[in-house]
Amino acid sequence: MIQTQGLHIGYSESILSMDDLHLSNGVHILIGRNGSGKSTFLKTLAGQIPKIMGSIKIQNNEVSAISIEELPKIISFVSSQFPIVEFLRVSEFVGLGRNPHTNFFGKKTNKDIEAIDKALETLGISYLRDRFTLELSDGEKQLVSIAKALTQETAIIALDEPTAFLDYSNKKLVLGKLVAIGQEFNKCILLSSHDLDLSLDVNCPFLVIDDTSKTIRFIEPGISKSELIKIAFD
Amino acid sequence: MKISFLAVLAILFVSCDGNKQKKHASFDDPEKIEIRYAENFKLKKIKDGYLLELLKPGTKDVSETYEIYPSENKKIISLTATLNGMLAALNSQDLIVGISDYDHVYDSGIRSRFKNGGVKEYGGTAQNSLEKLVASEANIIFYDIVDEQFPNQQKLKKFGIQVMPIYDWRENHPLAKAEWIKVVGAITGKIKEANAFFDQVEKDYNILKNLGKNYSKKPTVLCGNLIGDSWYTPSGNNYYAMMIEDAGGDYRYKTTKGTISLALSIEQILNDNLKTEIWLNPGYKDKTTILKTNPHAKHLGAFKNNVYCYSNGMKKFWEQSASRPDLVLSDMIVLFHPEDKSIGTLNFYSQIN
Amino acid sequence: MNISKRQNALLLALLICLPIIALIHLFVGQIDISFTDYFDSIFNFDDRNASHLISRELRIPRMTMAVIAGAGLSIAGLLMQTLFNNPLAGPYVLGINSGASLFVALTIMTGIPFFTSDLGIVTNALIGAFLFGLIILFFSTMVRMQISLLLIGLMLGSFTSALVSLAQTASDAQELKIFTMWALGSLQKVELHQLPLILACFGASILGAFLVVKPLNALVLGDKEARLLGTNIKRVRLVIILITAIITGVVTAFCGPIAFVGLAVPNLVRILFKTQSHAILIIASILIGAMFILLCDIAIQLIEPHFIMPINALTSIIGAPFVILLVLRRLK
Repeated sequence: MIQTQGLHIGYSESILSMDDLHLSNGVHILIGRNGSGKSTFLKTLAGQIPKIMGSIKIQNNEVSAISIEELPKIISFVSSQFPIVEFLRVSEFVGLGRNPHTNFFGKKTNKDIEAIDKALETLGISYLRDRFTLELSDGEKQLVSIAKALTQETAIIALDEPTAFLDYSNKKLVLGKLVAIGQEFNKCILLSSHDLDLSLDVNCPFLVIDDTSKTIRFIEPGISKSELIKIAFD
Repeated sequence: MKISFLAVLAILFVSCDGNKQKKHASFDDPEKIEIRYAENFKLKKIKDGYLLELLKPGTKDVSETYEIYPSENKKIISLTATLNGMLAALNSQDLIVGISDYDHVYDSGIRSRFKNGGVKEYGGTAQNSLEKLVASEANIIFYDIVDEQFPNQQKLKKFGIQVMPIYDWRENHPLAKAEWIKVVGAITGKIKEANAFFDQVEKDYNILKNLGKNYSKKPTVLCGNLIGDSWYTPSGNNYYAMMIEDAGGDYRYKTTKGTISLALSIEQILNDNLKTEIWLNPGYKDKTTILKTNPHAKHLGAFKNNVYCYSNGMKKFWEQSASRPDLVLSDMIVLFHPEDKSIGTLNFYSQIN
Repeated sequence: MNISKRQNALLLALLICLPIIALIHLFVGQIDISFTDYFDSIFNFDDRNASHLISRELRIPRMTMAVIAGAGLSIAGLLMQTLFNNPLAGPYVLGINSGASLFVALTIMTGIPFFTSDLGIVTNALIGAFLFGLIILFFSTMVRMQISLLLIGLMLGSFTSALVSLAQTASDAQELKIFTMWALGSLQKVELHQLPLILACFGASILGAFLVVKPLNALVLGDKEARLLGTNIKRVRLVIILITAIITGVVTAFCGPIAFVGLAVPNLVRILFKTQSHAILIIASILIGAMFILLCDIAIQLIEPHFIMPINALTSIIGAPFVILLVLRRLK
């Protein structure tokens, strides 16, 4: 689903090179120091910042060659910050995930409404539908954001530290949901995280940013915690 | 002066009961001073000069007192057009060393003295420079600002410069305005000339007035224009309304009370004036500009052929209208009664096209 | 469903109220005008009849202008608030009005005949508004804090008023007077024959606003999120600035500057409708904006015999405290 070849990413001063990747379905967890380039990778993937050299392809198409109208049909992005907007209801917020699919006027068809319902249901938050987004708890905000990404019906979902501001039970809940979604809907999910223990529990492959060699390495599941720490943080 | 005629009308607030004549005790002095119309000043002869008392509008209370010694008044700064006109009328324009704005001066004497440097510009009352005024070495500054003190009045006094307001515009009788020339006469030491000048104006005015009153056909007259959303026009007891009547015109709002301006809505104006024959003082020199600021004016009956403004001699009007009400009245009669060829030609007014 | 039912009921109520208020507006004034006068002024017009003239040439254009100014400025405000993600934005605070004013001032004072024509003033107000829109847009990409953009807008306003004063000292008395008259602002300078042009601009802007409903909804989440949802940000920004410039330019050209409507009305609408769905926000802003100016103008005409108040003064008297309340509410 995602293929990279000789990819270099980053901004002018700090550049990361990358193992050639071939990611398919399931959850992939991005581990690395603060400021090591986790967000940079996710943003490059989502087409928000340009790559430096090499190739990054989604479903055999170079990311930079996909139009901004098409890209959101393939990849959805959940940023680490939840927008602060007054009077924005959960249903409206999640519904915005349909924007790439609706017509010029943004008119929602039955299919769109079904997608919204289904996403809320999948995450078990149908009861939040009519609430204002500002009134949600941090855990609810994260679930609602994921619901929005689900509504987008993309093959890939990228999440920037989805568990960062959550308490333990919510971290576990969100990560569990993501793994379940990856399996159930055949999606490729990439998320960055600092929660090593939880990440190791779900038994997923890792993308680890090796800060000394400035490379992102693909690590198969089953790696031990100490090894992971050694690569990422030593 | 940049204050529009309408704005001046709008701020007139002197109450007045017509041309009641006032006799003051006459002095034994050959240059006796008798104030017959003006209600806003008193003038008395004192040793070597005069005592001028400015009165509070509507009352007989003295608000300010000035001792005037004509021999001292060698250099005058005149920031008001009226005073320029009155000084010129008494042939004393040579005393003027300062004016507000050369572009607004009509009198050829002042203009030529400006060109050879004898007269300088000092700007309007609010924006003049203290240092420039002090450097002028003038004895006295005349101004006409409404309801406000002259800036830096106390400081100027220390430098021996007296400032004096000219309140002719507070008077509500055309001849009362003209009578202020007696103040100018006192200042310049030409009280005899001032008396003679005023007597002539009064005589001419009354002759024209008697003529005007006797026309059988009196055209209806509207005045003023919109400022913002209100149309300002003189009230029935205003001096200008009085002059329209004196000229044999039928002022549309002659029955309204008060001396200050009326502020009417455009709806009211259209409702009352579709057939009004003559429109005076629209405030602009041409019809295109009138329509630009007041597009609905085109519906007024008078708009097509009978709009008149003192645009023929705008500067002349500012300088002379106060001291020469007879000339203004003569213009009105010519406009209202074109069939009568005996009056002569227009002095200030002209038709607007 | 409950929510949308409530919203629909509210919209319906507004939809019924607007024509009623507009009708009341037509019958308020110091001259009594009857239904028959209106009927005759349209079907049986006699230009020597004062009642006909007042109803046809004064009241109908004035009412229409009130509706257009209110609805238009509210839409402009709504669009800017969403575009800049700032509920305190508006054409007046961000200096779009100032742009229009500056260009009108310059055109009146240059005295070039084309520029001083009707169409000239409108065109120049439009250009000025658009130019200042672009300037604000440029700054918006540079500043991070919401408050900074508002300050820049205010500075633009001060800067232009200084420029206008400079132009004033250099212009002759007549030009100065025309400009002063224009700057006083009025809903009743519009003539019947100008309404088609104004209505066309207004209609185009409303249509334009509906065309960007989808991007507007996405922009609520901010530029980045909107782009991730497939919004062509650059294009949408330009379209929004253009729409805002057309409305603000036309309204400013004909009525002079009118403050706070564009800022206050969209906030009121959001508080009433509790939604970020722009289809609803736009319709409600049109209705409430129009009603707001109509009611202000009715009030002005009712107090006119005692007290003269320009429309801009009244909208500020009502709008400014409302905005202060909004700020306090957000600080909580």
